Amino acid sequence: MEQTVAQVIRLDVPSSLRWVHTLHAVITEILSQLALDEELSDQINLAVIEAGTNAIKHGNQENPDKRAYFEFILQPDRFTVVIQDQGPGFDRERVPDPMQPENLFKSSGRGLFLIESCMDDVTYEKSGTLIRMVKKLT
Amino acid sequence: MEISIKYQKENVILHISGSILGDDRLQLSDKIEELVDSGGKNVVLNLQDVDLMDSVGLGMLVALRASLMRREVRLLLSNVDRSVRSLLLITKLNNVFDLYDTEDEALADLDSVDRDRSMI
Repeated sequence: MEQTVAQVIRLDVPSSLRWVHTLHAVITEILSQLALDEELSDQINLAVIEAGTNAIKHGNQENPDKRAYFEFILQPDRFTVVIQDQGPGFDRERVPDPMQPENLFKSSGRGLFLIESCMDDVTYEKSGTLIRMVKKLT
Repeated sequence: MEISIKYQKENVILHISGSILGDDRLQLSDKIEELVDSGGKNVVLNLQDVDLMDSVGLGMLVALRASLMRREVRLLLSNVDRSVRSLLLITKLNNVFDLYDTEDEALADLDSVDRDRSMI
């Protein structure tokens, strides 16, 4: 039977980068159920890891008392991921462009650029503590 | 992430498997620095079995490349898989790193540089 109602999977993890591997395992398993082509799966996987890392590292500052919340929404025509942290938020406009020549050789600062490159629609809500990203599947 | 190490002359070859995410960068960069401290003249990273690398891992490679260059040690990447190659392309770092289709090609390049130097 064709899936017509959104299916939602939720996960929340403590704010330590060691849980990024658990996040990778979960998103890989969800994507395998969707039987997407490899490139599409790679893009979603990377965007989720980048946004998850941002939530844990930059949002929650790896504070063990704070958690990062993930919601994966599966619909026939799109895959939506919502990630929220418990940090102070940030202003996207103030994040430097990593593709500018002066930033190209820096060892950090590529996360948001990669998320926005990999997903079709990315929005920052609640003062930057929540990121909503959508990948079209059709 | 798992690392296996082999040596060819004074070159060190690291075969990485699994994913390079989050704090894996520390394990990998520490291991490479340790191998260079022990006398490795060049480092080849075989990334054939790396299924995913994030921007933290990529940033580690950028920093490591710069740090090894200061020590006159080359960092070569071989067998770069689809997802890592895509990451390098998106970030325009594909032209920054020395990329080789196979480990043998990377080692052959190191050999040719050695030959050129011995002729000077």
